[in-house]
Amino acid sequence: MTEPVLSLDEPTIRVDSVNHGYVSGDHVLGDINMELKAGSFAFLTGPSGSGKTTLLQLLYAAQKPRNGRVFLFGVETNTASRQTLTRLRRRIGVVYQDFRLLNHLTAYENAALPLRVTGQHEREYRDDVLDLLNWVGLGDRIQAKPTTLSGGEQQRVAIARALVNKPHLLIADEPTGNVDPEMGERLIRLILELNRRLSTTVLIATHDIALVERLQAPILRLENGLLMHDRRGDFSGG
Amino acid sequence: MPDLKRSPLLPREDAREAALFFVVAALCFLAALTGLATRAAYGAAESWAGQVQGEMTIRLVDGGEEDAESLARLLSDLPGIRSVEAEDRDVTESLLAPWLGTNLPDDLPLSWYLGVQTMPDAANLSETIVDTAEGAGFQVEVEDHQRWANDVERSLGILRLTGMVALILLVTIVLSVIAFATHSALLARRDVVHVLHTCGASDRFISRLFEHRFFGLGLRAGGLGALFALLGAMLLFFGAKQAGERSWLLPQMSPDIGTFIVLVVTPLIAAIVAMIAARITVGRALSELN
Ligand SMILES: Nc1ncnc2c1ncn2[C@@H]1O[C@H](COP(=O)(O)OP(=O)(O)O)[C@@H](O)[C@H]1O
Ligand SMILES: [Mg+2]
Repeated sequence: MTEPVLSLDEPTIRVDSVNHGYVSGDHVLGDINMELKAGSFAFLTGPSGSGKTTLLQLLYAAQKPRNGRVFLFGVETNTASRQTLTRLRRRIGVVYQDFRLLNHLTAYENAALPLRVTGQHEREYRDDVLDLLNWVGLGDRIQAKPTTLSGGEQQRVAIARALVNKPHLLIADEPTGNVDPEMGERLIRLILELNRRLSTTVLIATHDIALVERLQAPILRLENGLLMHDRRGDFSGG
Repeated sequence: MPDLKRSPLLPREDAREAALFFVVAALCFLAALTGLATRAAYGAAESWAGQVQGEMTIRLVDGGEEDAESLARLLSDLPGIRSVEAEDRDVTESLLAPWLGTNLPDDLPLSWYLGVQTMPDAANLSETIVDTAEGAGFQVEVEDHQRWANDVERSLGILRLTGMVALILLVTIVLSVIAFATHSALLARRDVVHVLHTCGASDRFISRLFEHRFFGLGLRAGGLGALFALLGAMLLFFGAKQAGERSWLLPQMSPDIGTFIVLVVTPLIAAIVAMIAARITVGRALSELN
């Protein structure tokens, strides 16, 4: 079997005339075209209900677009095999709007999950995971279960989990939604640092305009299912 | 360095799993008991048929001990007969004991019985015996056990069929119950499946989690059920033996290879069925995820 090549020369994300909707309703996304170059950093903004989460789900291959094509690392998600999609997922870190932590696992185990499911031994990754949890300020909460953590702490566990396997692409859905502005900015700056150090491509959905304004990053704005480009940067679209 | 224990990726679901454990254990108990009982009854009937075949009993309607012995000598020369023996009076009395009690007066006229061992494949012996005896002036009645043996053979077939049908039925029920339980466990654990999937776990990895969980559950529940079936069967047969004198008529419980197979195979089947049900259900659920 010939696997498609996961190319880093390709844009990390390319979206080609995508429109999408749910069975129950109208189109959520109109004609979306966009590109995110490897190593770029961008925000996705738009009012609540404008389709940010839906677009992100198409980008991390949780859904297939109804029309059009999405390319991840040069691979079209519509036609990729399940194995290829699994390999793609291992290069993508996702921070969900609702965290999606497993309540029966500790903060440490939740953060280590992407490594554990690929069959790595705990002693190989233990130090890295502990470092990462220290980095997001949870060094003293590693044994805590999510239900005993505050919203902001859970959010940071979710961010640690998304970053733990040093993904080539980080997609974060409102990652500062549950923390105070100060912690929010700190988290975003942590992600920015990661973007600079490891050239991780980053796309962050947020409706926190104040936060976005303080950081000099390109902004993609969703309005009525259409993408507006507020500020030219590392992406291009139409 | 803190102690970082590894929790299972699939959370334990005590209430749901305890209920499933009980159901599987109970079904395996029934299946194993059916298996053991069928086997034991089958074994007893076979040895019974074996005993009965090649045997006849002749009742001398009128006559004393000497008549019985001369008739025995006369008949033992017939072709197809291995030996003839006049039963002594004690045997006759013990046969009548259930009806007449044990303290029979010595002068009570009792019929004499002759036990006949026949060669295999001896045909129409009863007619020959009656003809020969009547020719010598004896009046006899022949009890040909062959008819019994045929009945036993027929019952054996029915027994085997009933046992098989019961087993197949039970296995089917186990299968559907486990499939149902796996399905509901999976629905309850959709979040886990979803998170593992998006964290890059392969379908195989996720499926194995459920397969292992349900294989273990099936094995433990099946083992317990089979063990209780063995205990139950032993108690039943032991009790029956204590209560009845003619224990050779009762099913035999012997710790032979067949018993062993029933005990090992029952939990194994339960475990494999559980595992396959889990694999199918998980596979179906995963195919709904992109
Ligand atoms: N699973 C779903 N089924 C049906 N409709 C959905 C589903 N998810 C989102 N929607 C609808 O799609 C639209 C966009 O939602 P969403 O992508 O969550 O927007 P945002 O993240 O910008 O708030 C909303 O109208 C929402 O009701
Ligand atoms: Mg959203």
